[in-house]
Amino acid sequence: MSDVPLRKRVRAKTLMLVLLCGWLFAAHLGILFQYGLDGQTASVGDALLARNAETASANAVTSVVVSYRGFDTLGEVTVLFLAATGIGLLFGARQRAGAEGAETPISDPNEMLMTGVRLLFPVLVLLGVYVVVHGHLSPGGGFQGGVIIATAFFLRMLADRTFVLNHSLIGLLEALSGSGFVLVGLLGLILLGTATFLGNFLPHPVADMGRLLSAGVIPVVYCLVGVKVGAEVAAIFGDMLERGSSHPPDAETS
Amino acid sequence: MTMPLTPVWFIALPLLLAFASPLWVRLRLLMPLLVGTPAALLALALGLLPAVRTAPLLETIVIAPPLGIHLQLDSASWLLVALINFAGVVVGAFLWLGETEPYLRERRAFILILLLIAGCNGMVLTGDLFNLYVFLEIAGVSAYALSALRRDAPALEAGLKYLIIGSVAAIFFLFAVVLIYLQTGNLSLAAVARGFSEIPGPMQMLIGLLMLIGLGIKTELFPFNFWVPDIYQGSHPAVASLYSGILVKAFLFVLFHLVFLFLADPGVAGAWLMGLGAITMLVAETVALRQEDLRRMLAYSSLGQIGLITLALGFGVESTTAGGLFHMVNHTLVKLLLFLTAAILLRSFVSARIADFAGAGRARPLAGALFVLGALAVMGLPPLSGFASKLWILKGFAEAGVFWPVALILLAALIEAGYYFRWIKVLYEPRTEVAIEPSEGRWAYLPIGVVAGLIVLLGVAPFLVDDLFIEGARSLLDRTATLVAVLGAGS
Repeated sequence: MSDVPLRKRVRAKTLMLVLLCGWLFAAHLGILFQYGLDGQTASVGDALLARNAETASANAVTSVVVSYRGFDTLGEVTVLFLAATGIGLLFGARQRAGAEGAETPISDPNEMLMTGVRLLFPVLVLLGVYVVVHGHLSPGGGFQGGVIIATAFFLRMLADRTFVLNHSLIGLLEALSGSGFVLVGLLGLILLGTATFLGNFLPHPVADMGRLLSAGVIPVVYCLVGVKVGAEVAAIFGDMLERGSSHPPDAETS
Repeated sequence: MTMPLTPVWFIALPLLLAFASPLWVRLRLLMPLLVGTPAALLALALGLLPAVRTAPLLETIVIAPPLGIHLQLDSASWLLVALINFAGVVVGAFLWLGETEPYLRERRAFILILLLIAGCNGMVLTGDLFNLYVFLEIAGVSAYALSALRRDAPALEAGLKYLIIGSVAAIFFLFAVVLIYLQTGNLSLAAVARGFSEIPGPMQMLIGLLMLIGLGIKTELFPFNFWVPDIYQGSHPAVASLYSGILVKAFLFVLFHLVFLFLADPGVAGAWLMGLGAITMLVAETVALRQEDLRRMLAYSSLGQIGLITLALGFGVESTTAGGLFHMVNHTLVKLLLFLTAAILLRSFVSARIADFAGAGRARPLAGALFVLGALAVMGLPPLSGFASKLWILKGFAEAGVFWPVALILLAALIEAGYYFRWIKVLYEPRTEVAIEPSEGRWAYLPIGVVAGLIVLLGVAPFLVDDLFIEGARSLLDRTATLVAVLGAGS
């Protein structure tokens, strides 16, 4: 410790950078506490809440996420898709480079995990499907449910070494649900009744609010989102777990 | 049932085709679609031009503007959309015809390039603040992955750096969006613009600063652009041409769109941006002098030109803004030409170091000639388009009686001439023992030739497109017209 001279242990530049960032952060907090605490009087959110009956979706958050700001949701799904693509790309590279390198041998999963997952798997899948399908009625929806389903498969992968994700099937599901989302949006655009992208072209009478089959196109979109998110997150888990094993990452490329 | 050709197609079509990519692999349509999609969108943009010139096209998505998201295609965003899709066609055609490396011709590259185009189109078109953030992320994430596509050490390093710095920028931007929503309760750009002056002064400063850092990193302005050359060097030159040609231009447009829309008097912000632009230009051009790597040199040259565009747009006068938009288009064309030519040269000559390029122009006469053409256009020599746009900017400053930018731009052009001529000289050095394999992929010259033709055409006859840029500058600067168009009269 004492071998290193003091001027090398304390890096002046780093210290100054830290101090500068600290000062900026303090100034930032000062402004925030002074002006940021009194929230605005009326926001778009209130206006949208007042009009929620239009969509006949019992869950007002869902009507904003899937209908009023559905375009953003399409974008978010795209970002997730890109992230999954990128992770597939990077972990594929690692696998090729480290193919000969000594991969740490992973011991077999223990009995508790295997038995637990055997019990949990169907329950988790069922819960995920429930959360997706009831997205327009209760808290939850495509993103949350999709992640629950993906988690079920992730546990399965952990507990059962022989279980391998079928990547081409996952890619197919991803492609179908993603293009389905855009096609539903375009259908809203070309049908005269709505004439706007992502318009709610299915009948959605307010009288049905609260039933499973209500809110028109919203549950359809949320199911597509659920499938897409589930497939993507499962693919991410799979890519991370399977590196070093023998799945060919580019089998389907031209 | 109708088939309305509205602005949403600029986003929906590439998204749809990217999602459905496994199908195209099976049908062997990947490469035709990579060229065909932006080509179709370019045709759509050209078809919409007469309508856009009479009045901006507003498209509501689900619910009308102050509450929901809308897309706005006006004369300014039309220029950018046409430019983005044109560059998409050129780069796609280069990858298809040029027998480029296989990793640029597979499914992942197809997805990433199409989504980059979709993200840039969306950023330019959207009229909603949070939607802007979403498209910023789409364009950003596809760019990070694109730079890591080659999967060797430099590419992975570039990708990782880009990922970290880009995410930091996006967080700054997102925080500004959050503060704006807290203060105004609105996300629609027009509604935010109406209420922006009521935000307390220090809060406005904070929002402005966060936006400046976020977008400054993305647009590669001076204190925030230390990372740029590494990314451009690590990526394939064709990918770098997309960054320099499309991505930065879209972010620049977003930056100035927000400044001119939010601020009733953009004077102070404009002056800051002009200062940053001037420093960016001078620093980048000076550093470019010493670069020994072709891709780094082009990256610094790109930074210099971006500084020039920022300087011109920040002034906020119609003539310099029009000139700045014109220079944006020219710079995209020139950098497409230079980076794609660099891709051809790099394929034949193992390294990008200046010493290894001796005599390259003699061995590859066509590529050498195109490189010289591009270099002359960047410098702004008379019969080429760079001259027309720089002259326009200089005239704008001179008419306004402000002469320091004129002096700086001329100085920068002089430095530029210095290093470009150094490279041209090396390119044509006599050297006999240049061993290269026989030339393949002649068709790769086709898209580059088209770009070169456009550079000459715009240089000889800039009057063909003058009106477009003047209208674009007007719609970019005219804040009240946008507010009235979106929110209705009386706002």
